[in-house]
Amino acid sequence: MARRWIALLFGAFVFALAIPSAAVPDPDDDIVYVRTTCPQGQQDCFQGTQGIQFATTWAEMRSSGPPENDPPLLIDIGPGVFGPFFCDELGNTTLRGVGVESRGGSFTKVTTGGIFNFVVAGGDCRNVTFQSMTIGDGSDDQYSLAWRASGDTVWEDVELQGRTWTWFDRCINNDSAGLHYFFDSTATTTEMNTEGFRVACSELWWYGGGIRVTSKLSVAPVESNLTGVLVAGNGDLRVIGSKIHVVADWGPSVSLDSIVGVRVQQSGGTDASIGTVAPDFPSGHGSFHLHGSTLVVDARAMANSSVVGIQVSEEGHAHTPGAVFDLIPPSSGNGSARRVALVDLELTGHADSPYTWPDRTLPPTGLVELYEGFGSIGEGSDGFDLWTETDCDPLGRCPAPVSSSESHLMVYEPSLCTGVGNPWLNATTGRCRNDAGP
Amino acid sequence: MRRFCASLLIVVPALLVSVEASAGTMEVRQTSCPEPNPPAEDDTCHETIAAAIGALLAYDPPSASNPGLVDIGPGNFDTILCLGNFSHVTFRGVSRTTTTVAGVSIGSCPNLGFETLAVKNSVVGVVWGATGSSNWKYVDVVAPKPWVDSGCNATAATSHTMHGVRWIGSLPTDYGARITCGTISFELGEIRMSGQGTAPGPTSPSRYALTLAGRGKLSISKSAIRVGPGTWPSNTDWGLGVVALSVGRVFGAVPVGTPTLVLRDSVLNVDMGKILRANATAIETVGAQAAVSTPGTGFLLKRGSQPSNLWPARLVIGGNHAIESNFLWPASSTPPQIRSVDRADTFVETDCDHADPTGSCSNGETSHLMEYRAGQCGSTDPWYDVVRRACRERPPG
Repeated sequence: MARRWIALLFGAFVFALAIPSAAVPDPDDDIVYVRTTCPQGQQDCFQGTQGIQFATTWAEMRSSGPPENDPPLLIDIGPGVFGPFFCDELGNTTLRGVGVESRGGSFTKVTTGGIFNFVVAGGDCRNVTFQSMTIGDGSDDQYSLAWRASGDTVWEDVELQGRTWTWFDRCINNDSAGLHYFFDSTATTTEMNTEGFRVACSELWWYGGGIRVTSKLSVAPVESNLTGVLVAGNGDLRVIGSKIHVVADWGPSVSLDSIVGVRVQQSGGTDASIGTVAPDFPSGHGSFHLHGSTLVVDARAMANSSVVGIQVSEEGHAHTPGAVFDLIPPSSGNGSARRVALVDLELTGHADSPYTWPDRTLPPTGLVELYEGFGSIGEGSDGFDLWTETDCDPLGRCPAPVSSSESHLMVYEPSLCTGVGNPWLNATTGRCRNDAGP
Repeated sequence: MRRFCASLLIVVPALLVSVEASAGTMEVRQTSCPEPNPPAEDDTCHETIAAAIGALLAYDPPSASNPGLVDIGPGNFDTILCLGNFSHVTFRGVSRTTTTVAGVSIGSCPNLGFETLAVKNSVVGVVWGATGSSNWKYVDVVAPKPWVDSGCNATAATSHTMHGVRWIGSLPTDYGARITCGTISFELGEIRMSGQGTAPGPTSPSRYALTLAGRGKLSISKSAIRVGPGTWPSNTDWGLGVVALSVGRVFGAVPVGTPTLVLRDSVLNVDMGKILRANATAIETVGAQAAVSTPGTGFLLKRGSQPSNLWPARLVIGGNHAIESNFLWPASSTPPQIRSVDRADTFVETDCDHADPTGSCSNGETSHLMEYRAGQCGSTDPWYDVVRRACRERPPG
């Protein structure tokens, strides 16, 4: 079923199901090999660029029950470059390469070479691990991983690279969400033009490594509101001990309304050129957690654009205690930066994102125009941000007219403190920062 | 489809490939060991872990200068057992989804390694006795009690590092994991403890997901701890509830020491929201000595779904212990219903009335910083309004 969907979605990705005569493993083998060139006569070795697909197809066909009952299997993949493959109805299996490309030395890489638009299409894979390989090519492959619903996988020391998406998933009808863990892995999208990483029907846990979405000068953005990471529908992304890095560097001649690091919402985002299957987002809320991690949105090369760390809409939910934000607004024009934007929240939608900026003598310049949204007024923005100003005097004058080093706690309070660029309430004096009183 | 295609497979005898193992390496395979005729005493491929260890010790004893490797293939295997009889051996499987061992039972064995495998047991995953040390990478430990140590040496402490490891345990009637003998440094991993089996009743005593006592030190970095009701039914009514991390609570004999918890850049989630009633405590300290530090860690606490006066507790401190654990709760128009210790917790209340001399925080539009001070403001509304310098919604003084 999943395979049928994938075939419909992505079109002309067809492999012959026949096993090449060079490889005829025993159905009871628990280790099979994939090599660019197999030793003569080694019957448990799948050879050539299609070796991984042949190996996974053999593994799927040798078992008749559900994938979770499959006998344990290692697919040992040697160094070299191999073609794309399906992960469908495979169980208790490990696909182990020799290393990732960026580290140098020997590596295992899976790519379409630009022939197809995705590298790995996943579905009902149960208890499957991927280790030590690069999946996708930032120049050739549109999708690195495309996943349809269900399945549970583990990814260890894996490098995902794709032009427009490194992770793209979806549910059809009543598909259950998948569960996927990434350890010490990276995802790099090289040509951001809508969103570069989309989680709509999976629970993803990302420990270590990071997710990077970048732009490419020769590929102009197709929308005026761009997103690095989209979490929508049933999507649930939990990033721990990692870094999300979104970079827009088209230059000052390109102006965008917004560049959003992570967008969390109930309904779908933009679907571009993914075939004939209509966009389909399951009912859900979109949930995003960021802990022990850093979110960077860098638009310094742009002009007249708004940078947003996290945007939460509808019934989306973000929870970020312990995260660090680094928002770099455009260096020219009327750019701005917002840490969190709450836009058109509904019912249970909310952001639990308290944040204490480092102590300083000036407000967090350029980072305080929070929560205005895009053409709408943000809700529930007060009180999210705190910082301690260290050059106040007992009257609450910050900076003090005469040198003083009293520390006053400031609370983000735009509804009360309406002075331009000065939305801070001095919690020590109980007055707005720009209202030092008598 | 799978069955049909399988019937088309041409089945031929497996080509048995002779394995050229390097010095100090033993392989463990369920089905693919070569079958030399006659059998050789120094075979490097075995069908059980015990046999591989025996051969390793007999023919190539591991040491610091000659570390051993037990390379375990796909499948399910016996327990890894060391009773002071070796060191400097790494047990490497295929992955946590493809290689499973029945348990790990160690007594006084230093410098062991465990990589890319799963430990699955119906009672205890890892039993570590006396002294020793180990490194773990990409391992799942799946057992009601993932880790239990005991029998500590009087002078030497154990030391363990874990990277990308998951402990997947349950909430037994006493404790889920016990650390008493030394330090576990745990990074980029997950500890998930979920209720299984018979659910507790209204008068059932508290249960403790993770316990530290004696010389036990748990240093967790960039990881997630998740505690929840698991498969317990939604009508579970459990008055006392669960403690996620207990520092100082003693189960069995423990050495003298200061149990210490460091939880850095992580998230601790105790979620009892899917059952009717249960309290939720994130961290407690008991006993003569204990230390807790939680920099950069987020807390997410939910009690049972039934409204009650049970408020989840972030910190319950039972003595004069060293505590460094401040937390800024999300800004809200209503105070977080939690218990903690004075001055450790703060939040910004967003609906205060700045001009109201009574300090009303119900329909206003301004934000006031609140600090948890139950000792001063009482348990009903334990928050102190820092802006007004008075207990929340009460007159100064």
